[in-house]
Amino acid sequence: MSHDYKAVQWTPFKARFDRWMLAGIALYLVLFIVIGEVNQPPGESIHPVQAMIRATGTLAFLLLTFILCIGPLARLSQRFKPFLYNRRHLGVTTFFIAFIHAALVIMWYHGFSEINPLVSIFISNPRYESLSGFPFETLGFAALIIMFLMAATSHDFWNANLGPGVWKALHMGVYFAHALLVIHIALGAIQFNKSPIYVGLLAASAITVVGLHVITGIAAMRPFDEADKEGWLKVAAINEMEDSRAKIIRPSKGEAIAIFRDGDKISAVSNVCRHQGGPLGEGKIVDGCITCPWHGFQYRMEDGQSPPPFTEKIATYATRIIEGVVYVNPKPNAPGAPQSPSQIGASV
Amino acid sequence: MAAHARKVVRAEGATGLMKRAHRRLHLAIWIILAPIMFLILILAIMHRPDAPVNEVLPNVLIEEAS
Repeated sequence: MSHDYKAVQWTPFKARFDRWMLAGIALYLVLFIVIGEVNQPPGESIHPVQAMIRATGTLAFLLLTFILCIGPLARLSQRFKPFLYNRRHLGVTTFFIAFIHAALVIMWYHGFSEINPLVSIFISNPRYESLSGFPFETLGFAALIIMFLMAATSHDFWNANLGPGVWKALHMGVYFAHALLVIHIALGAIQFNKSPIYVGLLAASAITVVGLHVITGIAAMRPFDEADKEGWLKVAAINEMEDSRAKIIRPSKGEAIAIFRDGDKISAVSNVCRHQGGPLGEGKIVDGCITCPWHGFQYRMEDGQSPPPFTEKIATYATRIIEGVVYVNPKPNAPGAPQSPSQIGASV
Repeated sequence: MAAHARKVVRAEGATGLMKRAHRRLHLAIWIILAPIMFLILILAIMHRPDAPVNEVLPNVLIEEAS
C-alpha cells in the first residue's frame, strides 16, 4: 500500500524476498548448465547458448507453475501467504526469464536467415496441420505476448486507471499463457527429448495447477448462508474464531462478509478489498487494521476506512453475540460508516 | 460517477458498488482450458516419433548430414 507513485514498491520484506529469489534463479541456471554438461553422452556436446535456452525455458515454466499454485495454496494454508504478497515481483521476473529464452531462440534458430527472425518463427515451419511437427515456437511466442501484457500492466498505476475488474480480467490471461506453454513444450521439447524427466515435469505441472484451481474453486462455491427469522446470519461460536483472523459468510444477496476477531472484539466488513477485489477475510489483523492478503491494503475494523492518508472505504456490518455465538446482520452500512464492534465479555 | 454511485447505494445497498470476486470465472476458465490442454498433451506424448526427426528439412539434406 503506497500513497505516492513509485516505479517498484519495495518493503524490507519484499526486498529480502527478491534477493532470495534472484539467488535461487542464479543457482538454478548454474546447476542446470553444469549438470547438463556433465550428463552429456560421450562424444556429444551442447553449445552454451543451447544450454542457456533450455535452462531459461525450464526455469520460466517452473516459476509460472509455482506462481499459479500460490493463489489456491494460500487459500488452503496460511503458510503460503508470504508468497501471495510477493507474487507480482515473481511474475515480472518470470516474464524477463521467458523473454531471455525467446530472444536466445530467435537469435540462435532464426537469426541467420534472410527472413525477418520474428516472421521466420511463423513461416519457417508451415506444418500447422501436424502434431509432432507443429511449429511449437508460435505457441511460446503467444504466451510471451500475454506475459508481456501482464508484466507491463502489473503496476498499481494500471490497476487504478483500468479499474480492478478490467485489470483482474486482463491478468487472468496467465491461465491461457500456462496452457499455451504446456502445449508448446508437449509439441516441442517432448518430441525431441526422450528423457522421462521432461514428460514427468510437464504432466506434474499441468495436473498440479489444474487440480489446485479446480479443488479450491469448487470449495469456494459452498451454498449461501441462511438468515434466521430476524434476518441475522450465524457466523460461529466464539471459541471457533481464531484471534486476528476472520470467518467468511456468504449472504444470499450481496457480497461475502468477513467477520474478524481482534482480542475480545468482533467486527464485520465486506470481504472485498477496494484495491483488486482481494478476499479480506483470508487476511489478518496487523497493527489493529484488517490487512488484505493480496497486497497489504489496510482498513480499520471500526469503520472500514483505510488509515490516513489513504481514502479507501469498505462497507461495515452490525454484529452481535448471543450465548457465545456470533451473528452478523447482512444489511451493509455505507462504506466507511462507523460500526461499534461486539464485545465478547458483554455477550447476552 | 458520484451520482451513479449514490443511485446504486440507494437501490442495492453499499455492496452494489463492489465487484464480486472472480473465483467462479477462474473455475470456468480451467474447466474449459484443462480438457483441451490434457487432450493435446496426451496426444503429443502418444505420437512422439521414435527418433528425433525434422520433417521440414528436405531428405537430401538429411542424408547429407548423416
